[in-house]
Amino acid sequence: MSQPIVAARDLRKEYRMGDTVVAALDGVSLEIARGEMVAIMGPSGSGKSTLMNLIGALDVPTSGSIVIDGVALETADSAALADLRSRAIGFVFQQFQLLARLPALDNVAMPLLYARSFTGDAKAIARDRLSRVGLAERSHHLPTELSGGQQQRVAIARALVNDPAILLADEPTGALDSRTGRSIIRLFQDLNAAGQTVVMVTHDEGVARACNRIVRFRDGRIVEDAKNADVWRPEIEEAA
Amino acid sequence: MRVDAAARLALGSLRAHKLRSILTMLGVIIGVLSVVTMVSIGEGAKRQIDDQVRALGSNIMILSTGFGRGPVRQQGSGTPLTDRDARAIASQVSGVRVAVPVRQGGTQAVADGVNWSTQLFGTTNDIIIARDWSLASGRMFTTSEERGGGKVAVVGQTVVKELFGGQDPIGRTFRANRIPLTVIGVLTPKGQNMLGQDQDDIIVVPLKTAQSRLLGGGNRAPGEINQIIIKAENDRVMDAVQRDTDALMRERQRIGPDEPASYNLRNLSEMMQLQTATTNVMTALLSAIASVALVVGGIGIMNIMLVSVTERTREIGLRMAVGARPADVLLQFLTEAAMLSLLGGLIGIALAVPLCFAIASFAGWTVAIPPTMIAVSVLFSAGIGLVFGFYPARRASRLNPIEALRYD
Repeated sequence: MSQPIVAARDLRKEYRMGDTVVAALDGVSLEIARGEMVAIMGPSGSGKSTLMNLIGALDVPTSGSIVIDGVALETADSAALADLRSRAIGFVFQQFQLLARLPALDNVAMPLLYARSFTGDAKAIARDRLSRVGLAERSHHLPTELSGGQQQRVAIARALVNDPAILLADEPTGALDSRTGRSIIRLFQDLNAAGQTVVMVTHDEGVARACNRIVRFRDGRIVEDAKNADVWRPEIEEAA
Repeated sequence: MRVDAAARLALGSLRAHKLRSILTMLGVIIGVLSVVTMVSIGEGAKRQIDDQVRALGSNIMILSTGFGRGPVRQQGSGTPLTDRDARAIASQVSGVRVAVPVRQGGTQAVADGVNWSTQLFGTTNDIIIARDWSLASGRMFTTSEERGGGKVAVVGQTVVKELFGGQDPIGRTFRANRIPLTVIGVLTPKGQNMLGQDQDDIIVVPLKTAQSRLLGGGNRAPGEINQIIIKAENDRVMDAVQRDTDALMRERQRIGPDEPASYNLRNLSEMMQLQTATTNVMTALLSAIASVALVVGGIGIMNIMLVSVTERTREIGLRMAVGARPADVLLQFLTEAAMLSLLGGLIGIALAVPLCFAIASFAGWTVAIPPTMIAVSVLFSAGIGLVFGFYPARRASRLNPIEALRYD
């Protein structure tokens, strides 16, 4: 746990909106260690999504430095960023973002298409990840044939397919009913218990309490960064 | 991403929109179909001319009686040619392989009550060399037959069919202009010439037989012939032979170098080349028009690919988020465009082949599909996809993944 997996120092990210320059991030320093489960909280416009885009290597900072799994984003070009995402990041989106015409298994295997060093059996790995999220027997279903919770599980399986250093989730329960949401939270907790670093962006207080560290944002700055001593472990009634 | 993976992706997304893919391909299909058909028709015409050149014999020049200088400028009214002119050309012009005198005319042939109107050629054995003819059976004339005007004939296949009912005519006798002739040889079939004349509808007799017995009469000069067929040794000496023959004939007929000649000296290969060149220009013109359809097809592909990129913005964003480089996205869309047009090209060729055969059988034209043409059009149609697919693909590869993921 010596090397932090995310090391950000004095991050600034500015957007031009017409004539004015808006600072979405205004001097943010943050470290995330391997094995943590971090919630990034804040109202919309607080800069949490911008930070998530930086942690996910989708964007580069205007100034400051951020190192993700050993790669400094501020000096990387778009191909290097893509390689970093391919190697170290697993994305889970609020709207699942599954490809409608592909069955679950192919959706899960898709990122390996772009993994340059990968030479193994993509389908076998995809099957393994699907069984880890409890959907082994649904691998040939199309997304439209799956419930919302199942679709999000497929998306999580896809995010895990490259053994990412960081599992990055953006409002992963935002499109789900609360019961299904709880089962998804438990899935993230189980993955974290197995050693997976998880970063969740959310404005749901309940989701945040399920994490062991909560970072709160307001107006582009961190206003609170604290360990969560009282981790909420949601009850699981029935499988989603 | 490897190219085979890109090809699988492309095939998948083309299959997902079957109707759209086929409609998009239609432009390329029609383009390739018309280009291949046009070129095949042009190539067929060229081959037909080629065959005719070969049928006439190669490196051939024809010296014939031209316009006279009298008040009535009529073909054949010039100074008559004689077989002495032919001998002079053969012996005095270097590079001449043979110079064959021909006395030509129509004749009515009769055998066992069957009438057949045909062409009679009085000539020498060298005609075989000059016209690249060959004998299917029998023999040509003996020296005594040539000198003595023997009543013998070599006939073409059409004459065999019409006059002898297709049976072996060797040794049989028929009458031509009331003179009995014995068949001693049969020519191999040659087919039609450029003007649609049947080259097998012919009776060949010794020159003297034609002059004195069959086509004589009137106020003809002794030894008069209609034309001399000159065959040069090879195509490199053709120009020299033509020049020297002209000089020799001017000398023999006492025509000054600047006066108009009273004879025609035509280089057949040149005429053929001219005709081939005309056909080439026509083919090129038609293909150029046809390739406009290809370009329109390419624009159709570009249009649909742009729509597709816009429609799949989120997919592109997702693929980028999970590690696709801009180059991977470029490759994916470029492959898709190339595959669209390549498939269109293949379908176009598959349709062009039966169309060419249909044209050949209905219009009666010679149609030849050159194999290189097929290879070229396959490559060209794939190239169309690459050229017109590049802009949409580059647009896809330059999307910002964050904005693309939010797009709806």
